[in-house]
Amino acid sequence: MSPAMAEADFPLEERSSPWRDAWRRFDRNRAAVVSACIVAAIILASLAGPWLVRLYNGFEYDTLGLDNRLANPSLLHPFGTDTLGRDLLSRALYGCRISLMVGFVSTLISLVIGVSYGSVAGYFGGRLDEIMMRTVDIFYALPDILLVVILMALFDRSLGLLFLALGATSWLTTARIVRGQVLSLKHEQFVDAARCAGVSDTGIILRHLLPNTIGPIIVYATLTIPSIILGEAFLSFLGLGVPPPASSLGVLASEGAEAISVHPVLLIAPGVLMAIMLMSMNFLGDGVRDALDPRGGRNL
Amino acid sequence: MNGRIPRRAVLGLGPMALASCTRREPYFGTSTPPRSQTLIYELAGEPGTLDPAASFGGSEWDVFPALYEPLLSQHPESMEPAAGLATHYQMDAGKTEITFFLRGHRAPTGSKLFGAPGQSEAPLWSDGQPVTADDVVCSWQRSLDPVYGYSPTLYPVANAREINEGKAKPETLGAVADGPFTLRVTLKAPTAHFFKLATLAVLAPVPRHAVEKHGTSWTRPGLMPSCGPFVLHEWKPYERIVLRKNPRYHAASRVHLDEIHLLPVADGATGMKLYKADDVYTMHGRAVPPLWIPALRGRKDFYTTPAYRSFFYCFNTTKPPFDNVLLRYAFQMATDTQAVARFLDGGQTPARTIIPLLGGYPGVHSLSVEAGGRVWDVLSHDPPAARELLRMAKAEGLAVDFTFPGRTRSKEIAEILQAQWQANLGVRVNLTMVESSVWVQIAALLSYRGIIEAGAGAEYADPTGIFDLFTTRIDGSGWVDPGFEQLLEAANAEFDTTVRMRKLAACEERLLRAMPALPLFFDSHCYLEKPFVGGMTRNLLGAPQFKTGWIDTNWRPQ
Repeated sequence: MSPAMAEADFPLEERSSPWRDAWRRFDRNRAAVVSACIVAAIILASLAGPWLVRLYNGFEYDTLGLDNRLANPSLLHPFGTDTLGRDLLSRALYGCRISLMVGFVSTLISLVIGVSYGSVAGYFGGRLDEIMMRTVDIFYALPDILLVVILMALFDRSLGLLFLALGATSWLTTARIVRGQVLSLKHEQFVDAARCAGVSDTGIILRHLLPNTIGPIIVYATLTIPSIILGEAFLSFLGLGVPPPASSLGVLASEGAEAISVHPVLLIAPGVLMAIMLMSMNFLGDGVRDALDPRGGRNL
Repeated sequence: MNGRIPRRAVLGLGPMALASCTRREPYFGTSTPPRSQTLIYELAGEPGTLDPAASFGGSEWDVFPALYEPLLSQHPESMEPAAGLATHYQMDAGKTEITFFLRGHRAPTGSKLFGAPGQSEAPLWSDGQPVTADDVVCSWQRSLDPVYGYSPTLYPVANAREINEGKAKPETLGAVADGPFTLRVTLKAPTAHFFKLATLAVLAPVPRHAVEKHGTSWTRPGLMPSCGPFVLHEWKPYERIVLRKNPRYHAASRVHLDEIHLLPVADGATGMKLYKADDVYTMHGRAVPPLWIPALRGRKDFYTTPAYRSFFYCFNTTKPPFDNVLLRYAFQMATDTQAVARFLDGGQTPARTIIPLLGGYPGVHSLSVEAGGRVWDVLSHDPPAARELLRMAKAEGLAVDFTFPGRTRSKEIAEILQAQWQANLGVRVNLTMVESSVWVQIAALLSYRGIIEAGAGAEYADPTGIFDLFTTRIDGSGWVDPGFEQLLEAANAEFDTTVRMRKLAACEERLLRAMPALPLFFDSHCYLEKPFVGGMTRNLLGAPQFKTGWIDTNWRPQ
């Protein structure tokens, strides 16, 4: 076997990098790729869908149609209408948008809090780390959904508060993961080198440590989004989620549950949509984890 | 596994789909009569108490008529006062002194009440003790005791308000026993609707001997003697209350039911399932959720009958922005009550006024108000005029808070109005749903902003029953008008029904001119009743007539 032949057989080996390897592993995971497509389709539909439905039948998510209540699925209303005659397709897509927005924004909030908290605790270490991480332990002991319920009941219900409340209760695990990563990285030689070169603490954390923890953060974030969406659905089911007339998947599920024996489409349509969305997000999250962490889980 | 759906399953689906499309059954669910005279009734949630003095008007109001015999009973359909504990009465020329002759009186004189016997046996409590005029007086004094809170029903009786407010001794009440079977009542002023009040369970005697012996636990099964047609037999909280026929009741031979089971059901859908499965035979008048009505329409066991109940919202008149009456007019004129009634679709009448047009009440049909050099009919639905008024109130682009309880239909109605006000006035409406007990509290304390759901049923079928919400300031609007109260008192001193009703309409006009409330609709009783249940006439008040109810145990579907 000549060296030239070997090069032709394994052309990828030459241009391999950790990110490219990860992409290759992800690409081979069929469930993850299909899920990614579904998630992308749902995001697109939730952004453009309500607008398209309005072009199609003139209904927005809050347009009442009191003369056509609880209609069965038809050509005009593909999912039928709800108790107030509103188009269920438009409401479901709008609900997806709100649910996704809650999922993304709250996850972002939890990342901002969790990453900064965890990296500070891990980098400075010592007593500060001790105090900060015991605080996290205490927060772990509080039932977070109960905390959100109390927050939502105490203050005026608004979308912004919902984002904040859900984000502010789900940063704990992120903080722990980031702290662990920073702890193991801060004694590496490139950190020592940076310190010798006179880089400030903030610079070291932002420029040298955080970019190296990005993998676990992405993995954790992709799994946090569906759990926050589920949390929002739970709150809306209890009547504490987004204020009416806005819809979210949880609001629709709660309205549908009331009608389950009279008009089951009201529950089935948003329920199936939510199940598909959450399932594909979880598959996607699993795929990302397998791709970015070749040692853990399945080794492709 | 080849992953295909088995062919047999597909074959089975066809007939199932066909079966679900077949013509509607005449009745909802199964209808198999029980073998005994046992009626099962759905209560609107767990009763707070079975003591009339301590009740604040929960589902126990449906139970009271079965356990207590009031001073006067009602004809089940016309609701005219009829003989109850009293058989005859005499009124003096000034119409403030009424003498009631109770059952057991040897020689009653005066006017005979409907259905009264010439002479009658002394009535007994179910434990064998006699029921006397003294019991009535003591019960009235007891229910006015400030510890039971506010008890406006008895206020027409002399000194009652003072006693209830703790300013007078109970003995000063204008009701005295003149012998064991004669009751003398002194009223503060002539009160035309006093006989309607006397039919209420709050004015029925409670067993004084049991109250004195057992204290607050006298309403427990086994300890509670009753003078009504039924006796409390069992009470499992949140599960079941069982009543049995009272053999010592004065008209026991005319009571058909042997046993009544009362199921406290808080959630409409649960009640519907219980009914469908023959676990409930009939229910209270608000049991059917609007969602179910399309599925029930046309069934022979589905009824909608008018109710003496008015559904309205209250403005918080003590805080901006609704301390401005122009803005209140604007919201009234921007509201399309037809749409709300069309949504509910259960026999409700869209309303522009507060008092139901029943029992010869003429009502108010238009109300002209002058503002900004123009005359407005503020009872009409007129969105352009509403916008004009909004502009005059300098409230364009307003954001309004709207509070409603987490009950059936409240949220849907709120969403309909939210859309209407947004479209007609361009105001933003923030909806807040609160828990029912919180809702009652914030309405009473006026600690909400903007608009709140209010509206209630009257305890008796008379306009005063609803006006009393405003005179006693428990409506939730914070509106106070001594002139209105004087007008109402004058109307109630009038004994000619036609004249009185006209005067009451003038009261309502004054109320609407101030518009502390936004009327929506006059409610209906909307319920299911098994075809084998009879004698349970629903009148305007909707209380179940257990006394005359019966079950056709031989009933079979045709």
